[in-house]
Amino acid sequence: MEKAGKPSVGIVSVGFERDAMATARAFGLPQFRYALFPEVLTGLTPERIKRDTADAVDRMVEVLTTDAGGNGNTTAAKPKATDRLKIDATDSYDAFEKMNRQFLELEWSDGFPIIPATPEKVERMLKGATRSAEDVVTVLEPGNGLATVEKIAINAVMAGCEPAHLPILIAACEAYTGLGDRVRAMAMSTSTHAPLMVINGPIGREIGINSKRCAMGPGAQSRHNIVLGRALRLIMMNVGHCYPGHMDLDTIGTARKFGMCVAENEEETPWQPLHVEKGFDQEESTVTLFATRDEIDVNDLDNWTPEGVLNSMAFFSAIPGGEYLDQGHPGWDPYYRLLLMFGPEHANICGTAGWSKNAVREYVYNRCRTSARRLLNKVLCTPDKIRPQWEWLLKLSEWEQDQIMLPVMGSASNIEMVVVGGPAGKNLIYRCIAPPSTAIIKDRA
Amino acid sequence: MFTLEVLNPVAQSEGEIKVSGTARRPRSLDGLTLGLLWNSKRGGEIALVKAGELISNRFKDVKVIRYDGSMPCDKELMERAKQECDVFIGSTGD
Repeated sequence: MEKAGKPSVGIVSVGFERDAMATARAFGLPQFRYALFPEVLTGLTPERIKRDTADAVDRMVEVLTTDAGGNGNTTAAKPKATDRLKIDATDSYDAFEKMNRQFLELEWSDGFPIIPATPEKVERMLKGATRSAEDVVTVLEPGNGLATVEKIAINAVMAGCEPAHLPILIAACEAYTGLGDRVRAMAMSTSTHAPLMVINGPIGREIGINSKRCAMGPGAQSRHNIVLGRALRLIMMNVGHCYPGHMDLDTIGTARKFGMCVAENEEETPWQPLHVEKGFDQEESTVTLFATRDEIDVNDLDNWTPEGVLNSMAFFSAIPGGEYLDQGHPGWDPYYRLLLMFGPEHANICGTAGWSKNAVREYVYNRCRTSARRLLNKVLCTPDKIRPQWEWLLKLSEWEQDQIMLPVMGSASNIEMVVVGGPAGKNLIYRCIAPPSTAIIKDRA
Repeated sequence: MFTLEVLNPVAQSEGEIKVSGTARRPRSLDGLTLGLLWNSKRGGEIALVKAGELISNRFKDVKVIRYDGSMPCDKELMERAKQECDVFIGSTGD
Protein backbone atom coordinates (compact mmCIF):
# COMPACT_ATOMS: atom_id res chain seq x y z
CA MET A 1 0.00 0.00 0.00
CA GLU A 2 2.88 2.37 0.81
CA LYS A 3 4.31 1.76 -2.66
CA ALA A 4 0.90 2.70 -4.11
CA GLY A 5 1.14 6.02 -2.26
CA LYS A 6 -1.18 5.06 0.59
CA PRO A 7 0.06 5.79 4.13
CA SER A 8 -0.20 2.62 6.20
CA VAL A 9 0.47 1.38 9.70
CA GLY A 10 0.80 -2.23 10.76
CA ILE A 11 -0.29 -3.72 14.06
CA VAL A 12 2.72 -5.71 15.29
CA SER A 13 2.88 -7.77 18.49
CA VAL A 14 5.86 -7.90 20.83
CA GLY A 15 8.20 -10.62 19.58
CA PHE A 16 7.30 -9.98 15.95
CA GLU A 17 9.05 -6.60 15.52
CA ARG A 18 12.16 -8.04 13.87
CA ASP A 19 10.00 -10.07 11.52
CA ALA A 20 7.98 -7.00 10.55
CA MET A 21 11.07 -4.93 9.78
CA ALA A 22 12.87 -7.77 7.97
CA THR A 23 9.80 -8.25 5.80
CA ALA A 24 9.59 -4.51 5.13
CA ARG A 25 13.25 -4.42 4.09
CA ALA A 26 12.75 -7.46 1.84
CA PHE A 27 10.11 -5.46 -0.02
CA GLY A 28 12.35 -2.38 -0.18
CA LEU A 29 10.52 -0.39 2.51
CA PRO A 30 13.07 0.18 5.29
CA GLN A 31 11.09 3.18 6.59
CA PHE A 32 8.03 1.06 7.37
CA ARG A 33 6.54 1.90 10.80
CA TYR A 34 4.15 0.01 13.03
CA ALA A 35 2.12 0.23 16.24
CA LEU A 36 3.46 -2.19 18.83
CA PHE A 37 0.98 -4.30 20.79
CA PRO A 38 2.11 -5.90 24.08
CA GLU A 39 0.74 -9.35 23.27
CA VAL A 40 -0.06 -11.63 20.34
CA LEU A 41 -3.75 -11.12 19.60
CA THR A 42 -4.77 -14.65 18.65
CA GLY A 43 -5.17 -15.95 22.21
CA LEU A 44 -6.59 -12.84 23.89
CA THR A 45 -10.14 -12.05 24.96
CA PRO A 46 -11.93 -9.40 22.88
CA GLU A 47 -11.92 -7.04 25.88
CA ARG A 48 -8.16 -7.27 26.22
CA ILE A 49 -7.60 -6.68 22.50
CA LYS A 50 -9.80 -3.58 22.63
CA ARG A 51 -7.86 -2.26 25.63
CA ASP A 52 -4.52 -2.83 23.86
CA THR A 53 -5.92 -1.08 20.78
CA ALA A 54 -6.97 1.96 22.80
CA ASP A 55 -3.43 2.16 24.18
CA ALA A 56 -1.93 1.95 20.66
CA VAL A 57 -4.23 4.26 18.71
CA ASP A 58 -2.10 7.37 19.31
CA ARG A 59 0.82 5.63 17.67
CA MET A 60 -1.35 4.59 14.73
CA VAL A 61 -2.42 8.17 14.17
CA GLU A 62 1.17 9.36 14.51
CA VAL A 63 2.39 6.91 11.85
CA LEU A 64 -0.43 7.84 9.48
CA THR A 65 0.02 11.60 9.82
CA THR A 66 3.76 12.23 10.17
CA ASP A 67 6.30 11.78 7.40
CA ALA A 68 9.11 9.30 7.93
CA GLY A 69 11.38 11.29 5.67
CA GLY A 70 10.53 9.45 2.48
CA ASN A 71 8.90 10.90 -0.60
CA GLY A 72 7.61 7.69 -2.14
CA ASN A 73 10.40 7.64 -4.71
CA THR A 74 12.20 4.44 -5.61
CA THR A 75 15.97 4.20 -5.91
CA ALA A 76 17.84 1.36 -7.57
CA ALA A 77 21.32 0.03 -6.83
CA LYS A 78 23.44 -2.54 -8.63
CA PRO A 79 23.79 -6.04 -7.16
CA LYS A 80 27.08 -6.34 -5.30
CA ALA A 81 29.69 -9.06 -5.68
CA THR A 82 30.06 -11.71 -2.99
CA ASP A 83 32.47 -10.54 -0.34
CA ARG A 84 35.07 -12.68 1.39
CA LEU A 85 35.63 -13.04 5.11
CA LYS A 86 39.12 -13.60 6.51
CA ILE A 87 39.56 -15.47 9.78
CA ASP A 88 42.99 -15.27 11.38
CA ALA A 89 43.89 -18.12 13.71
CA THR A 90 46.80 -20.07 15.11
CA ASP A 91 46.21 -23.07 12.84
CA SER A 92 43.56 -24.59 10.56
CA TYR A 93 41.66 -26.27 13.43
CA ASP A 94 41.51 -23.02 15.35
CA ALA A 95 40.33 -21.24 12.18
CA PHE A 96 37.58 -23.84 11.69
CA GLU A 97 36.32 -23.29 15.23
CA LYS A 98 36.57 -19.49 14.96
CA MET A 99 34.69 -19.45 11.68
CA ASN A 100 31.92 -21.61 13.14
CA ARG A 101 31.64 -19.34 16.19
CA GLN A 102 31.51 -16.27 13.96
CA PHE A 103 28.88 -17.79 11.68
CA LEU A 104 26.76 -18.67 14.71
CA GLU A 105 27.02 -15.09 15.97
CA LEU A 106 25.94 -13.84 12.55
CA GLU A 107 23.09 -16.42 12.54
CA TRP A 108 24.36 -17.87 9.25
CA SER A 109 24.56 -21.43 10.58
CA ASP A 110 21.92 -24.06 11.40
CA GLY A 111 23.77 -24.78 14.65
CA PHE A 112 25.79 -27.80 13.54
CA PRO A 113 29.42 -27.30 12.51
CA ILE A 114 29.63 -26.11 8.92
CA ILE A 115 32.25 -26.76 6.27
CA PRO A 116 34.23 -23.61 5.36
CA ALA A 117 33.07 -22.34 1.96
CA THR A 118 36.53 -21.45 0.72
CA PRO A 119 36.86 -19.96 -2.78
CA GLU A 120 38.44 -23.23 -3.93
CA LYS A 121 35.64 -25.41 -2.55
CA VAL A 122 32.97 -23.15 -4.02
CA GLU A 123 34.74 -23.19 -7.38
CA ARG A 124 34.73 -26.98 -7.29
CA MET A 125 31.05 -27.04 -6.30
CA LEU A 126 30.18 -24.76 -9.23
CA LYS A 127 31.68 -27.34 -11.61
CA GLY A 128 28.76 -29.63 -10.70
CA ALA A 129 26.35 -27.57 -12.80
CA THR A 130 26.49 -26.03 -16.24
CA ARG A 131 25.04 -22.65 -15.22
CA SER A 132 27.10 -19.54 -14.57
CA ALA A 133 27.81 -18.53 -10.99
CA GLU A 134 26.06 -15.19 -11.37
CA ASP A 135 22.85 -16.61 -12.91
CA VAL A 136 19.85 -15.77 -10.75
CA VAL A 137 17.91 -19.05 -10.47
CA THR A 138 14.99 -17.46 -8.63
CA VAL A 139 14.13 -14.96 -5.92
CA LEU A 140 13.60 -16.73 -2.61
CA GLU A 141 10.90 -15.59 -0.23
CA PRO A 142 10.37 -14.49 2.45
CA GLY A 143 13.45 -12.24 2.25
CA ASN A 144 13.30 -11.93 -1.54
CA GLY A 145 16.95 -13.00 -1.73
CA LEU A 146 18.59 -13.30 -5.13
CA ALA A 147 19.30 -17.03 -5.44
CA THR A 148 22.33 -16.96 -7.68
CA VAL A 149 24.03 -20.24 -8.54
CA GLU A 150 27.02 -18.99 -6.53
CA LYS A 151 25.02 -18.38 -3.34
CA ILE A 152 23.37 -21.78 -3.69
CA ALA A 153 26.83 -23.33 -4.14
CA ILE A 154 28.29 -21.56 -1.09
CA ASN A 155 25.52 -22.88 1.14
CA ALA A 156 25.86 -26.32 -0.43
CA VAL A 157 29.53 -26.40 0.52
CA MET A 158 28.67 -25.31 4.08
CA ALA A 159 26.17 -28.20 4.34
CA GLY A 160 28.75 -30.77 3.22
CA CYS A 161 27.41 -31.31 -0.29
CA GLU A 162 29.29 -32.61 -3.32
CA PRO A 163 29.31 -30.96 -6.78
CA ALA A 164 26.86 -33.58 -8.09
CA HIS A 165 24.30 -32.23 -5.62
CA LEU A 166 24.32 -28.69 -7.00
CA PRO A 167 21.82 -29.26 -9.87
CA ILE A 168 19.45 -30.87 -7.36
CA LEU A 169 19.62 -27.79 -5.14
CA ILE A 170 19.11 -25.46 -8.11
CA ALA A 171 15.97 -27.44 -8.97
CA ALA A 172 14.92 -27.42 -5.30
CA CYS A 173 15.07 -23.61 -5.32
CA GLU A 174 12.86 -23.56 -8.41
CA ALA A 175 10.43 -25.97 -6.74
CA TYR A 176 10.46 -23.79 -3.61
CA THR A 177 9.37 -20.78 -5.63
CA GLY A 178 6.87 -23.05 -7.38
CA LEU A 179 5.00 -23.36 -4.08
CA GLY A 180 3.77 -19.89 -5.02
CA ASP A 181 1.80 -17.93 -2.50
CA ARG A 182 2.19 -20.72 0.08
CA VAL A 183 5.96 -20.22 0.37
CA ARG A 184 5.56 -17.55 3.01
CA ALA A 185 3.21 -19.73 5.06
CA MET A 186 5.75 -22.56 4.94
CA ALA A 187 8.76 -20.42 5.73
CA MET A 188 7.41 -17.91 8.25
CA SER A 189 4.59 -19.60 10.13
CA THR A 190 4.30 -19.95 13.89
CA SER A 191 3.64 -23.65 13.08
CA THR A 192 6.22 -26.37 12.46
CA HIS A 193 6.13 -26.16 8.67
CA ALA A 194 9.17 -27.64 6.93
CA PRO A 195 10.02 -28.63 3.35
CA LEU A 196 10.47 -32.27 2.38
CA MET A 197 12.40 -32.98 -0.83
CA VAL A 198 11.42 -36.11 -2.76
CA ILE A 199 13.83 -37.06 -5.55
CA ASN A 200 12.61 -39.08 -8.53
CA GLY A 201 14.23 -40.44 -11.68
CA PRO A 202 17.68 -41.83 -12.43
CA ILE A 203 19.70 -39.24 -10.49
CA GLY A 204 18.77 -40.80 -7.17
CA ARG A 205 20.21 -44.17 -8.17
CA GLU A 206 23.24 -42.63 -9.89
CA ILE A 207 24.27 -40.58 -6.88
CA GLY A 208 23.10 -43.03 -4.25
CA ILE A 209 20.35 -41.02 -2.58
CA ASN A 210 18.77 -43.42 -0.13
CA SER A 211 15.24 -44.57 -0.94
CA LYS A 212 15.25 -47.63 1.29
CA ARG A 213 15.87 -48.42 4.94
CA CYS A 214 15.94 -45.41 7.24
CA ALA A 215 16.05 -43.10 4.22
CA MET A 216 14.65 -40.26 6.31
CA GLY A 217 17.03 -40.91 9.18
CA PRO A 218 20.66 -40.45 10.19
CA GLY A 219 23.65 -42.56 9.20
CA ALA A 220 26.05 -43.28 6.39
CA GLN A 221 23.42 -44.86 4.16
CA SER A 222 21.61 -41.52 4.00
CA ARG A 223 24.63 -39.24 3.69
CA HIS A 224 23.41 -37.64 0.45
CA ASN A 225 19.88 -37.22 1.80
CA ILE A 226 21.20 -35.54 4.95
CA VAL A 227 23.42 -32.94 3.30
CA LEU A 228 20.85 -32.13 0.60
CA GLY A 229 18.15 -31.50 3.18
CA ARG A 230 20.55 -29.49 5.28
CA ALA A 231 21.66 -27.42 2.29
CA LEU A 232 18.07 -26.47 1.49
CA ARG A 233 17.60 -25.22 5.06
CA LEU A 234 20.81 -23.16 4.89
CA ILE A 235 19.64 -21.77 1.54
CA MET A 236 16.27 -20.87 3.07
CA MET A 237 18.14 -19.04 5.83
CA ASN A 238 21.00 -17.33 4.02
CA VAL A 239 19.41 -16.83 0.61
CA GLY A 240 15.72 -16.60 1.58
CA HIS A 241 16.58 -14.78 4.84
CA CYS A 242 14.29 -17.12 6.73
CA TYR A 243 16.15 -16.84 10.02
CA PRO A 244 14.55 -18.10 13.24
CA GLY A 245 13.21 -15.14 15.19
CA HIS A 246 13.37 -12.81 12.19
CA MET A 247 11.28 -14.28 9.43
CA ASP A 248 10.80 -17.80 10.79
CA LEU A 249 8.43 -17.27 13.71
CA ASP A 250 7.91 -20.94 14.58
CA THR A 251 6.56 -21.13 18.13
CA ILE A 252 8.25 -24.36 19.25
CA GLY A 253 10.18 -25.60 16.22
CA THR A 254 10.83 -29.10 14.95
CA ALA A 255 13.79 -31.32 14.11
CA ARG A 256 12.25 -31.68 10.64
CA LYS A 257 13.51 -28.19 9.89
CA PHE A 258 17.13 -29.32 9.86
CA GLY A 259 16.41 -31.00 6.56
CA MET A 260 14.36 -33.73 4.92
CA CYS A 261 15.35 -35.31 1.64
CA VAL A 262 14.56 -38.76 0.30
CA ALA A 263 14.44 -40.59 -3.02
CA GLU A 264 11.34 -42.52 -3.97
CA ASN A 265 11.84 -46.29 -3.94
CA GLU A 266 10.97 -46.66 -7.60
CA GLU A 267 12.33 -50.22 -7.75
CA GLU A 268 9.77 -51.54 -5.31
CA THR A 269 6.72 -49.37 -5.86
CA PRO A 270 3.77 -51.12 -7.49
CA TRP A 271 2.57 -47.79 -8.83
CA GLN A 272 3.71 -45.02 -11.13
CA PRO A 273 6.43 -42.99 -9.42
CA LEU A 274 5.47 -39.54 -8.20
CA HIS A 275 7.11 -37.63 -11.05
CA VAL A 276 5.48 -39.75 -13.78
CA GLU A 277 2.13 -39.20 -12.11
CA LYS A 278 2.85 -35.45 -12.26
CA GLY A 279 3.44 -35.64 -16.02
CA PHE A 280 7.21 -36.03 -16.22
CA ASP A 281 9.05 -38.71 -18.16
CA GLN A 282 10.23 -41.79 -16.25
CA GLU A 283 13.84 -41.03 -17.27
CA GLU A 284 13.67 -37.39 -16.19
CA SER A 285 15.03 -36.58 -12.75
CA THR A 286 12.96 -34.29 -10.56
CA VAL A 287 12.74 -32.84 -7.11
CA THR A 288 9.33 -32.41 -5.53
CA LEU A 289 8.88 -30.20 -2.49
CA PHE A 290 6.19 -30.94 0.05
CA ALA A 291 5.41 -28.19 2.57
CA THR A 292 4.89 -30.47 5.57
CA ARG A 293 3.30 -29.47 8.86
CA ASP A 294 3.85 -32.66 10.87
CA GLU A 295 4.79 -36.35 10.70
CA ILE A 296 2.84 -39.35 11.96
CA ASP A 297 4.23 -42.89 12.26
CA VAL A 298 1.64 -45.47 11.19
CA ASN A 299 2.47 -48.66 13.02
CA ASP A 300 0.46 -51.57 11.62
CA LEU A 301 2.15 -54.97 11.88
CA ASP A 302 -1.09 -56.89 12.11
CA ASN A 303 -2.91 -56.42 8.80
CA TRP A 304 -2.14 -58.09 5.48
CA THR A 305 -5.13 -56.92 3.40
CA PRO A 306 -5.44 -53.63 1.51
CA GLU A 307 -8.47 -52.70 3.57
CA GLY A 308 -6.71 -53.34 6.87
CA VAL A 309 -3.58 -51.45 5.88
CA LEU A 310 -5.49 -48.52 4.41
CA ASN A 311 -7.83 -48.30 7.38
CA SER A 312 -4.74 -47.70 9.52
CA MET A 313 -3.58 -44.96 7.17
CA ALA A 314 -7.01 -43.34 7.21
CA PHE A 315 -7.55 -43.58 10.95
CA PHE A 316 -4.07 -42.28 11.82
CA SER A 317 -4.69 -39.36 9.42
CA ALA A 318 -8.00 -38.38 10.97
CA ILE A 319 -6.66 -35.41 12.89
CA PRO A 320 -9.17 -32.60 13.28
CA GLY A 321 -8.50 -30.00 10.66
CA GLY A 322 -11.82 -29.08 9.17
CA GLU A 323 -10.86 -25.63 7.99
CA TYR A 324 -13.65 -26.00 5.47
CA LEU A 325 -16.09 -25.40 8.34
CA ASP A 326 -14.59 -22.03 9.14
CA GLN A 327 -15.25 -18.94 7.10
CA GLY A 328 -12.33 -17.21 8.80
CA HIS A 329 -9.86 -18.92 6.45
CA PRO A 330 -11.63 -19.08 3.11
CA GLY A 331 -8.45 -19.51 1.17
CA TRP A 332 -6.90 -22.34 3.15
CA ASP A 333 -8.81 -25.49 2.50
CA PRO A 334 -7.93 -26.00 -1.18
CA TYR A 335 -4.24 -25.89 -0.28
CA TYR A 336 -4.14 -28.71 2.25
CA ARG A 337 -2.66 -32.05 1.26
CA LEU A 338 -2.10 -35.40 2.93
CA LEU A 339 1.10 -37.16 1.89
CA LEU A 340 0.95 -40.92 2.43
CA MET A 341 4.52 -42.22 2.51
CA PHE A 342 4.13 -45.97 2.12
CA GLY A 343 6.82 -48.48 2.94
CA PRO A 344 7.09 -50.93 0.03
CA GLU A 345 5.48 -53.80 1.95
CA HIS A 346 2.13 -52.14 2.44
CA ALA A 347 2.26 -50.46 -0.96
CA ASN A 348 2.62 -53.89 -2.56
CA ILE A 349 -0.17 -55.42 -0.49
CA CYS A 350 -2.41 -52.83 -2.18
CA GLY A 351 -0.72 -52.86 -5.60
CA THR A 352 -0.67 -56.64 -6.10
CA ALA A 353 -4.33 -56.80 -5.13
CA GLY A 354 -5.05 -54.43 -8.03
CA TRP A 355 -5.56 -51.21 -6.09
CA SER A 356 -4.56 -48.18 -8.15
CA LYS A 357 -3.32 -44.96 -6.54
CA ASN A 358 -6.71 -43.37 -7.14
CA ALA A 359 -8.51 -46.32 -5.55
CA VAL A 360 -6.27 -45.92 -2.48
CA ARG A 361 -7.00 -42.19 -2.39
CA GLU A 362 -10.76 -42.68 -2.51
CA TYR A 363 -10.68 -45.39 0.15
CA VAL A 364 -8.51 -43.38 2.55
CA TYR A 365 -10.47 -40.16 1.98
CA ASN A 366 -13.79 -41.87 2.71
CA ARG A 367 -12.48 -43.29 6.01
CA CYS A 368 -10.33 -40.37 7.11
CA ARG A 369 -13.06 -38.87 9.27
CA THR A 370 -13.54 -37.52 12.70
CA SER A 371 -16.52 -36.46 14.75
CA ALA A 372 -18.28 -33.16 14.21
CA ARG A 373 -17.65 -32.39 17.87
CA ARG A 374 -13.90 -32.57 17.39
CA LEU A 375 -13.99 -30.45 14.26
CA LEU A 376 -16.24 -27.89 15.91
CA ASN A 377 -13.69 -27.26 18.64
CA LYS A 378 -12.08 -24.91 16.12
CA VAL A 379 -15.03 -22.55 16.46
CA LEU A 380 -15.81 -23.21 20.12
CA CYS A 381 -14.82 -19.65 21.14
CA THR A 382 -15.84 -18.06 17.84
CA PRO A 383 -19.12 -19.71 16.72
CA ASP A 384 -19.83 -16.72 14.47
CA LYS A 385 -16.94 -17.89 12.27
CA ILE A 386 -18.66 -21.08 11.12
CA ARG A 387 -19.83 -21.13 7.51
CA PRO A 388 -23.61 -20.79 7.20
CA GLN A 389 -24.12 -24.25 5.73
CA TRP A 390 -22.63 -25.84 8.86
CA GLU A 391 -24.46 -23.76 11.47
CA TRP A 392 -26.93 -26.59 12.08
CA LEU A 393 -24.13 -28.59 13.72
CA LEU A 394 -23.90 -26.05 16.52
CA LYS A 395 -27.52 -26.72 17.48
CA LEU A 396 -26.84 -30.39 18.22
CA SER A 397 -25.97 -31.80 21.64
CA GLU A 398 -22.39 -32.90 22.27
CA TRP A 399 -23.58 -36.53 22.11
CA GLU A 400 -25.18 -35.91 18.72
CA GLN A 401 -22.08 -34.11 17.47
CA ASP A 402 -20.06 -37.17 18.52
CA GLN A 403 -22.18 -39.44 16.30
CA ILE A 404 -21.66 -37.44 13.10
CA MET A 405 -18.45 -38.30 11.29
CA LEU A 406 -17.10 -35.72 8.83
CA PRO A 407 -14.05 -35.74 6.54
CA VAL A 408 -11.03 -33.88 7.87
CA MET A 409 -10.15 -32.57 4.43
CA GLY A 410 -11.92 -31.38 1.33
CA SER A 411 -11.29 -33.96 -1.38
CA ALA A 412 -9.66 -37.32 -2.24
CA SER A 413 -7.58 -35.50 -4.84
CA ASN A 414 -5.79 -33.74 -1.96
CA ILE A 415 -4.02 -37.03 -1.12
CA GLU A 416 -0.48 -37.54 -2.46
CA MET A 417 1.45 -40.83 -2.33
CA VAL A 418 5.10 -41.92 -2.48
CA VAL A 419 6.85 -45.19 -1.67
CA VAL A 420 9.97 -45.06 0.50
CA GLY A 421 11.77 -47.38 2.86
CA GLY A 422 12.89 -50.95 3.53
CA PRO A 423 10.97 -54.07 4.43
CA ALA A 424 8.45 -53.93 7.32
CA GLY A 425 4.90 -52.82 7.64
CA LYS A 426 5.48 -49.21 8.54
CA ASN A 427 4.30 -46.03 6.89
CA LEU A 428 4.48 -42.31 7.53
CA ILE A 429 1.91 -39.61 7.04
CA TYR A 430 2.74 -35.97 6.45
CA ARG A 431 0.02 -33.36 6.59
CA CYS A 432 0.99 -30.57 4.19
CA ILE A 433 -0.09 -26.97 3.83
CA ALA A 434 0.31 -26.65 0.07
CA PRO A 435 0.10 -28.63 -3.13
CA PRO A 436 3.56 -30.08 -3.88
CA SER A 437 5.82 -28.36 -6.37
CA THR A 438 8.02 -30.31 -8.80
CA ALA A 439 11.02 -29.07 -10.83
CA ILE A 440 13.18 -30.94 -13.32
CA ILE A 441 16.81 -31.45 -12.32
CA LYS A 442 18.80 -30.18 -15.27
CA ASP A 443 22.06 -28.26 -15.66
CA ARG A 444 24.08 -31.36 -14.68
CA ALA A 445 27.73 -31.04 -15.62
CA MET B 1 49.55 -18.16 11.88
CA PHE B 2 46.78 -19.37 9.60
CA THR B 3 44.22 -17.33 7.64
CA LEU B 4 41.00 -18.95 6.49
CA GLU B 5 39.13 -17.21 3.68
CA VAL B 6 35.47 -18.02 3.15
CA LEU B 7 32.73 -16.63 0.94
CA ASN B 8 29.74 -14.81 2.39
CA PRO B 9 26.69 -17.12 2.07
CA VAL B 10 24.07 -14.38 2.46
CA ALA B 11 22.22 -13.31 -0.66
CA GLN B 12 21.34 -9.76 -1.43
CA SER B 13 17.66 -9.01 -1.21
CA GLU B 14 15.66 -7.48 -4.03
CA GLY B 15 14.56 -4.95 -1.43
CA GLU B 16 18.19 -3.85 -0.89
CA ILE B 17 18.58 -3.18 -4.59
CA LYS B 18 15.27 -1.41 -5.14
CA VAL B 19 14.39 0.78 -2.16
CA SER B 20 11.18 2.78 -1.87
CA GLY B 21 10.35 5.59 0.52
CA THR B 22 7.08 5.59 2.42
CA ALA B 23 4.12 7.53 1.07
CA ARG B 24 3.64 11.21 1.92
CA ARG B 25 1.42 11.66 4.95
CA PRO B 26 -1.68 13.82 5.35
CA ARG B 27 -1.58 16.31 8.26
CA SER B 28 -4.93 15.07 9.52
CA LEU B 29 -7.24 12.12 8.92
CA ASP B 30 -10.28 14.43 8.64
CA GLY B 31 -12.45 13.51 5.66
CA LEU B 32 -10.34 10.51 4.65
CA THR B 33 -11.31 6.92 3.97
CA LEU B 34 -9.58 4.47 6.33
CA GLY B 35 -9.10 0.88 5.14
CA LEU B 36 -8.84 -1.89 7.72
CA LEU B 37 -6.90 -4.80 6.22
CA TRP B 38 -7.15 -8.15 7.98
CA ASN B 39 -5.64 -11.52 7.00
CA SER B 40 -8.36 -13.45 8.89
CA LYS B 41 -6.10 -14.50 11.76
CA ARG B 42 -8.19 -14.36 14.92
CA GLY B 43 -8.03 -11.20 17.02
CA GLY B 44 -6.82 -8.89 14.28
CA GLU B 45 -10.35 -7.95 13.27
CA ILE B 46 -11.24 -6.94 16.82
CA ALA B 47 -8.25 -4.60 17.02
CA LEU B 48 -8.97 -3.15 13.59
CA VAL B 49 -12.64 -2.48 14.25
CA LYS B 50 -11.79 -0.84 17.58
CA ALA B 51 -9.09 1.29 15.95
CA GLY B 52 -11.58 2.34 13.27
CA GLU B 53 -14.07 3.40 15.95
CA LEU B 54 -11.50 5.37 17.93
CA ILE B 55 -10.17 7.17 14.85
CA SER B 56 -13.71 7.96 13.63
CA ASN B 57 -14.44 9.54 17.01
CA ARG B 58 -11.26 11.60 16.94
CA PHE B 59 -11.43 12.94 13.35
CA LYS B 60 -14.25 14.47 11.30
CA ASP B 61 -16.03 12.61 8.50
CA VAL B 62 -13.80 9.54 8.47
CA LYS B 63 -15.19 6.70 6.38
CA VAL B 64 -14.09 3.23 7.47
CA ILE B 65 -14.04 0.19 5.19
CA ARG B 66 -13.04 -3.26 6.46
CA TYR B 67 -11.39 -5.79 4.14
CA ASP B 68 -11.39 -9.42 5.29
CA GLY B 69 -8.53 -11.00 3.42
CA SER B 70 -6.85 -14.34 3.81
CA MET B 71 -3.40 -15.90 3.79
CA PRO B 72 -2.36 -15.23 1.08
CA CYS B 73 -4.50 -12.17 0.47
CA ASP B 74 -6.62 -12.07 -2.65
CA LYS B 75 -5.02 -9.68 -5.15
CA GLU B 76 -8.36 -8.33 -6.39
CA LEU B 77 -9.32 -7.40 -2.84
CA MET B 78 -6.03 -5.55 -2.40
CA GLU B 79 -6.55 -3.67 -5.66
CA ARG B 80 -10.09 -2.70 -4.66
CA ALA B 81 -8.83 -1.50 -1.27
CA LYS B 82 -6.20 0.69 -2.96
CA GLN B 83 -8.86 2.29 -5.11
CA GLU B 84 -11.30 2.90 -2.27
CA CYS B 85 -9.11 4.15 0.61
CA ASP B 86 -6.66 6.93 1.45
CA VAL B 87 -4.88 5.34 4.44
CA PHE B 88 -4.67 1.85 5.94
CA ILE B 89 -4.26 -0.06 9.17
CA GLY B 90 -3.26 -3.71 8.78
CA SER B 91 -3.27 -6.65 11.16
CA THR B 92 -2.15 -10.27 10.91
CA GLY B 93 -3.11 -11.14 14.48
CA ASP B 94 0.53 -11.27 15.56
